[in-house]
Amino acid sequence: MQHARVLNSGKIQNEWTSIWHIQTEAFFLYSDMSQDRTILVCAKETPDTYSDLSFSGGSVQFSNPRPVLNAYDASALEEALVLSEAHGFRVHVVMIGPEKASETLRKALAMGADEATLLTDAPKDADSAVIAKILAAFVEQFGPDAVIMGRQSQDTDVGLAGGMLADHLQWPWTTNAIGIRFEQEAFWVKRQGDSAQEWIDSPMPCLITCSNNLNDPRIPTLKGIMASKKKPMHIVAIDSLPGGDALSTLAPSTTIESLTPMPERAAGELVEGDLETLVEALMKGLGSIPETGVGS
Amino acid sequence: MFNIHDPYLFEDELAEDDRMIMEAAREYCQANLEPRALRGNQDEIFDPEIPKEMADMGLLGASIAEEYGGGGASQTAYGLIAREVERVDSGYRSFMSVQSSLVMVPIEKFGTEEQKKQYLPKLASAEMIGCFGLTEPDHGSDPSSMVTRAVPTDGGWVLNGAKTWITNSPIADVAIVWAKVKEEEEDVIRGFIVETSWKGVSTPHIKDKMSLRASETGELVFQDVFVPETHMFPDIRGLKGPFTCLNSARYGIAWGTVGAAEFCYERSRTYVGERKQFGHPLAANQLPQTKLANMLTDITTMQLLAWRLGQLRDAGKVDPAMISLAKRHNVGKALDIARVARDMHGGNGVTGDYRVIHHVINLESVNTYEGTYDIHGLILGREITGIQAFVPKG
Ligand SMILES: Cc1cc2nc3c(=O)[nH]c(=O)nc-3n(C[C@H](O)[C@H](O)[C@H](O)COP(=O)(O)OP(=O)(O)OC[C@H]3O[C@@H](n4cnc5c(N)ncnc54)[C@H](O)[C@@H]3O)c2cc1C
Repeated sequence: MQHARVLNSGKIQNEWTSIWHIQTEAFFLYSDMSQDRTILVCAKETPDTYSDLSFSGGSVQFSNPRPVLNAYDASALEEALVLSEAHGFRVHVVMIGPEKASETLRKALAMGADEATLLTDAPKDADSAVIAKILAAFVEQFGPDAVIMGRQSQDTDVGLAGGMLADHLQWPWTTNAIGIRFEQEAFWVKRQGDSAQEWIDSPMPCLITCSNNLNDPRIPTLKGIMASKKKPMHIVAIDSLPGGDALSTLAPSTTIESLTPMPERAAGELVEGDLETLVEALMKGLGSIPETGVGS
Repeated sequence: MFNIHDPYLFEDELAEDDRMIMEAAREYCQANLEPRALRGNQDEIFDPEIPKEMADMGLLGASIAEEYGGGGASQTAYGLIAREVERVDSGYRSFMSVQSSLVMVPIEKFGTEEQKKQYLPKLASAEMIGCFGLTEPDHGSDPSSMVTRAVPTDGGWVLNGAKTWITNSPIADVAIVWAKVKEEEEDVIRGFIVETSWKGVSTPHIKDKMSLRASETGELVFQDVFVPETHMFPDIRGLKGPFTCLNSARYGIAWGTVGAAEFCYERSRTYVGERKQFGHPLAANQLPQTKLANMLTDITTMQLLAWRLGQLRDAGKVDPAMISLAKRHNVGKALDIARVARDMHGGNGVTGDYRVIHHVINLESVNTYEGTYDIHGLILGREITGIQAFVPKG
């Protein structure tokens, strides 16, 4: 459906809009979607991994009890807002989470997103594969011009959801974005490799996953926070999405067997003494490095 | 799980708006103010960019009506902002309190429609900076005996006198000035909006302050200053005028000092966890542990007082004595906590890097301004006994 859409052509866009409305009658109505092209930002709420953490009974606790907006997704949102300011995109943020995640999602509205959807009642222990399937159903119904999201979440660092989502959608996917431009009806994505950067031309619709080096996400202002109360936030149960029954009962394909603190690094050995002793200790130390590790 | 930052989980009880404002203010203060705090204090720098940044964040006049450029937020939100700013430096909070509570509040509450339209949006955007002149060289705790006076003239008033200890005065564009006028043979205190660029106004800087060094403090001197009639507050008379403003600012201080105390407690907790003496972390000793326990207990009382006071202000159920109680208690406790924190840091406690002594020395001013610790004790004493003890009976 999306591929047939010709941008800037009022006729086709209107046609498309009417299809959209028919499809969504039983679902919910977005405000004035026909006017603009839309960037969809997928965002997740995560524990505040910058706060102190402790382990007990196989689970981890953070000293800040309140979850935060995943920093990588915040960068994706910041970039979407910058693109929106320059090119008039509408920015819609979607989050899968419990109802109380609406506070974190509201932060996205306070930063400047136009509209948000919270998809609730996700299957228990949803892993990346499950999340990607739910997001794919939402994206297919919603039909944005681009999806921009973090390359990973700051708590698990898994980084699979974006790629799996692109695969479901069969959209071009660009990873590790550190810069995004919109030119000649396409996204130009600067991506960071190990030792070089490349610019990739990504026609719409496309999916981009972002590095947190992309930008410095804005802090919501008081006015933004007050204005966010008036912006639409749709709370939608996953089973009301197209194919929702299957989605809401998806089983994770991976399970977490155990969760343990990072092993502490073994303490170094402090060698004291005269030069001879030091050299001797050094030679002994070098001798314990496996042959292959020493190089030629 | 026991939360060692918020033991009675008051942050969970906040309205969503207020909590979001708190978090945004925290993020701004930690990212933008904290890195400036040490040098700002040592070198007496109030970075001229700060007012604009705070304005862009919406932190100036947060609870002033939106139609005048304010944020339209709750009293609780205003207090939570003060807590975040003062977690960094009471000097920055002083700037914010004066602009918001002592300048914008009286204009909103007592000003004419023209005065509100002329000044509030510019104060909210930091295009103008304001100050508040009540204290005089010979009249501090007893402002009713002030000598600054306005006498009527054609089209307005002629103002003469001097105010001292005026936060922001050297950088201010506008001053709220309280002065005596004669009305039916009686001296009455009235409020004026005075622009510092007017003829006869000077604002000398007070040198060598050892506390709140990142906050500008000066005098306000008036020599035959013509103040147009349009710049007098039309209806408010007596000390109720300045005290309305002070109640708002004192409420902000009750919250602000929570932030300063939390900072000192946090730093001490980290320090004794890392610093080893006699082969063990200091935190493994009983004395540091009970010091931290006392700090957290006091911080919890401070948090709960400030939070409840905010609710009462939002519900319009506040009596000024409630504010005296919280201002006095919270500043006193913050000062105790800061001094103990200084001690727990040993020699490092006297360096700027750890910033606990910075809070000790700042809180000395906070204990004195906006009604000293003892004056608030006398306000409470009068409520409790029904006998005023400000004027000794001899
Ligand atoms: C950094 C700083 C910024 C300030 N900013 C402002 C400002 O912006 N605007 C403004 O108008 N003022 C400002 N002030 C002034 C401040 O409000 C006064 O310093 C304060 O009210 C105390 O007045 P005082 O200094 O004259 O002390 P005094 O009134 O002389 O008090 C000295 C001591 O005597 C005690 N005392 C006084 N009377 C009694 C009594 N009856 N019984 C028992 N004890 C008593 C006091 O508690 C205090 O311990 C500022 C002060 C400082 C230090």
